[in-house]
Amino acid sequence: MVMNTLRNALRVTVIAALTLMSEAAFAIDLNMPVGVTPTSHNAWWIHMFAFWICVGIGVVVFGLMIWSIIFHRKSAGHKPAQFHDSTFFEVTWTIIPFIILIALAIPAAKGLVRIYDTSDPDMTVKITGFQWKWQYDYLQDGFSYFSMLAADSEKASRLDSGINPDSVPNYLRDVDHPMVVPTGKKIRLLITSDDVIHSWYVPDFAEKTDAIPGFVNQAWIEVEKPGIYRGACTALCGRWHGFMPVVVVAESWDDYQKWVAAMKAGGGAYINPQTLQPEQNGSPVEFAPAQLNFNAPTTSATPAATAPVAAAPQPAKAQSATAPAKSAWTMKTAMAKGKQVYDQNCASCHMPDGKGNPALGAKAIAGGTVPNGPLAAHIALVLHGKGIMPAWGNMLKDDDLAAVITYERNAFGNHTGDLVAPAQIKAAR
Amino acid sequence: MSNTAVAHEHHAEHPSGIWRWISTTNHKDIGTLYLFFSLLMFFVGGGFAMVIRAELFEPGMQLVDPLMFNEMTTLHALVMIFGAIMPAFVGLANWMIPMMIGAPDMALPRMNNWSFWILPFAFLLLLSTTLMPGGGPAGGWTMYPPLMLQTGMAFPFVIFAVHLMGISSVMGAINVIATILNLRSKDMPLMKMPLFVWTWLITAYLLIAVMPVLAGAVTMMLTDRYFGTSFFDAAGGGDPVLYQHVFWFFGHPEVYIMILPAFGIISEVIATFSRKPLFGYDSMVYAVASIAFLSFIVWAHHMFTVGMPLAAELFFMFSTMLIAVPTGVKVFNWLATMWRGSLSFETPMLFAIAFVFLFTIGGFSGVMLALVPADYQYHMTYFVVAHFHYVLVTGAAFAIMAGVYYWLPKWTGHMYNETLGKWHFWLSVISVNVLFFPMHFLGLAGMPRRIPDYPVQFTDLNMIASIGGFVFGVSQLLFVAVVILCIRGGKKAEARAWDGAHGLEWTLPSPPPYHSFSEPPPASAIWAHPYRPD
Amino acid sequence: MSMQQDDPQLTAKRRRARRTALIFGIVALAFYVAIFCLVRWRHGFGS
Repeated sequence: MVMNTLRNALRVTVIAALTLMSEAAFAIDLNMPVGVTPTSHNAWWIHMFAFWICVGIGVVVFGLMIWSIIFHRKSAGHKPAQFHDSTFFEVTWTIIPFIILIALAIPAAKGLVRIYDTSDPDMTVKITGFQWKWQYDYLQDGFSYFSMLAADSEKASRLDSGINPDSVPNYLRDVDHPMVVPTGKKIRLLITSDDVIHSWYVPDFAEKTDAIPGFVNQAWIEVEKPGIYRGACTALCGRWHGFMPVVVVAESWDDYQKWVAAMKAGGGAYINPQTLQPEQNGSPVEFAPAQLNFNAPTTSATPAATAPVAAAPQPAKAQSATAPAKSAWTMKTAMAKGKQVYDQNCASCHMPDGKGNPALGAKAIAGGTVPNGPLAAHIALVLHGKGIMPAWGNMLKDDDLAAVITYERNAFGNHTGDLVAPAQIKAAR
Repeated sequence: MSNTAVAHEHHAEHPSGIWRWISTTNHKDIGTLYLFFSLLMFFVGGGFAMVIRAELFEPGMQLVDPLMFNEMTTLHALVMIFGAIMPAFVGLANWMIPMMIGAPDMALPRMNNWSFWILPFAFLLLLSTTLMPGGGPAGGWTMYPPLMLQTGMAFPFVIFAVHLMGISSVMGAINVIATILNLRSKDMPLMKMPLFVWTWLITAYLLIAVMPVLAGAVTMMLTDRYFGTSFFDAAGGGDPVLYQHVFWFFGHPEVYIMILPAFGIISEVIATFSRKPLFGYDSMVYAVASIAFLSFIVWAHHMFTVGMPLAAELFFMFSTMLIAVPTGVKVFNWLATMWRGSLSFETPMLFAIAFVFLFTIGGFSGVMLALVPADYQYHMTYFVVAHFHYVLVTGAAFAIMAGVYYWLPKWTGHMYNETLGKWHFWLSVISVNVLFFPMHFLGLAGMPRRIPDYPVQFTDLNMIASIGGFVFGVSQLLFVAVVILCIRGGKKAEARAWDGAHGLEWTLPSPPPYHSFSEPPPASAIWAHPYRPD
Repeated sequence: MSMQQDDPQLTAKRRRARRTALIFGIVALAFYVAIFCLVRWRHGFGS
């Protein structure tokens, strides 16, 4: 340990000397990664643009100051000038920075608008932060699993473990069950938390979004190149905050499909995305009914969404409820689809029997004031959310929403008789 | 009535020994207390920082448990912000404002005594939490729920300590406002006040506006935990993000509370050692006022990743960028003050020049952080740590040191040891850059804040930063040595200790009498400027 | 402690100063109360 410290100290001294000549001496790039998503390219571009503007201003300001320090010294016999005011200069150095800022603000605003456009995703993954692990929930494929710090890193990171972190591959950057995503697809991330606030961050994606209990944040990524991308939780989340890395394996669409199929057939074992072999470590994969048509049906991800769910070890009861969106919108189809949407999205808080859960702040649907009150208020609440109630308008399609609201108004002993049409939802948005 | 007679008479009335300091209502005594208290806290907070840098010296956990590490980061910030930086500025305000505006003392001397003496108890309470079951606060100085609600027994004590600090700050601020508005010499209109007085007046307004907001936020968290409310608890219909909004509505003006008086000090020091009047006085005052106003409408730039609506992100991005304009005006005015002056480089001037350079670097990273798409990369990484340490250490703390070196001759009647002072400066300015500059690179490479251990590729730069940190920490002992030596003796300081110094405080002898201006100073003294004929 | 006895002009100044302090003290307290109202309002008063 001591020798190791000394050796490291020696190395760092040498490296510090080398830095003066070359930045290649460091184990990391000294600049922001260009990354592998459109968002990260944009972030890098804005970063460099702002950086060079700052360098330019710095050269002027620091240059003038150094000039003044060298040539306007008392010891060099310089006599002080008397000026102390100039409206011209004050106005000039107010307006020029203002113009520079506008030049910076325009690309930044454009980039931000693009980042906020989560529409038309090819697939959706829900990410939930826990103290201290991540859960990845592949909503369309009906399985989810936990991802936590790899065992060798965990062992080496214990206080005075005696294990040299240098000897651990990818120390603190490896997990037991990485997230797997296809390349070239727009992947929507729904990010939330189960306990305290976390933040999901992968530098190569320029994607950092807080995971907040009771709220679902949206983001999207589109990975251009296959590879393994590593990040971490960036919001202080308690004792093991530094020990919940994010690892994402990006694969071609075909490889991804193979992995998904293997996961479904794996009987609860996590499938290594590279070897396609089951892994024995960590917690088992959990299965839930697949959320069919979770996304807009026009996208290329639909093969995955409509793939036979029978492949899943626990055949989904939702199978019978695959109401084609194009068929006639009747009370029967709406109720069937509504039950499916309800069970997948609402039941976890409002309970499968609609009785609500006071501990979570979820009100009862059965006999509830909103489901039995004016329809417009009900639609508005579901669309826009309130307090802990998420705004589902961004997460579900019109027909899903229409179905689930119809269901809530006519199930659990509610008898409003209202059949909500998708067009009504569209109008209320 | 003779001044000296009165001063002597009052001197005689005052108790000596420890009771003098406990019962004092004198602005200079209280200023001294504040300054020594802040120096003590600077070393306590610095000690926490040393633990942090030692643990981060190399990967793996060697010294402390991760929870203990989180306590260190939390307490480092709380102690440095509320214990070191803010009391130091209040101490400078106590010492200098009455002397600068021609008043005998602060307007409310007895409240002044209270404002100070609350502080040691607040910090005793805060620091004692480290010994409590469950440890001290470990949720970061921002105290975000729900994490903060996981604190053990320390929780109510931390909140009570924050309340005490808030009460102390608000009372101090009220006193500053009452003093400046009521006890100013009748020959000194607002727009002729020294810039340090101006910046403090505006800072005091900020304090009164936002300290109660912090108190409210932590009180609500307290009732969430003990009285079944759910202001910030999602499970009960509350909103953890709302806490962040309320907190940063306090927190952002708070960072200006820590930098505006620094602007004031730097303006005094640069003008003095450039032997020129301050360039663009009026625009300096307007710039400070604009910064103070803008500080209320930029808070959510601390929360760009919480998932705000697009419109909010855009608004806070634009308003944040706007702050660069008045801040730039200040830097340009300091530059113009130095331009074609007759510069000399005593220790206060060295610190002031370092301030302008390094604060500007912190300003650059500030503008970069405002750009939301890039901020998604910087946010909550070491880039942010580098940014705010550039503005708070090489900004606020360097300005305080500049101020202390600048006014030490006035306070003690002795010149400090210039050689030691210069050693202190050069060691500090080199080590502080070794400490904080590599953090930019660590952040850009994606190293998150507040982690006790890190992947091995971050080792080199963390080691460099730690070495810089240790040197910086040790260098500050020199500062203590300079101050103590200066109190005990040294070359006799003249009333106008610096030949370029301008302002009423320099018309009083060094050290000044117990009551600063028992009689209002003559108008001519207000306008006298050694390097300005008119 | 203070110069009150010595200088009537200063006494008047101090009285004004105390009034200023009182006003700002009340303002600070009002802000403290206001932040509760604001947060409750943001929540909606119901539930």
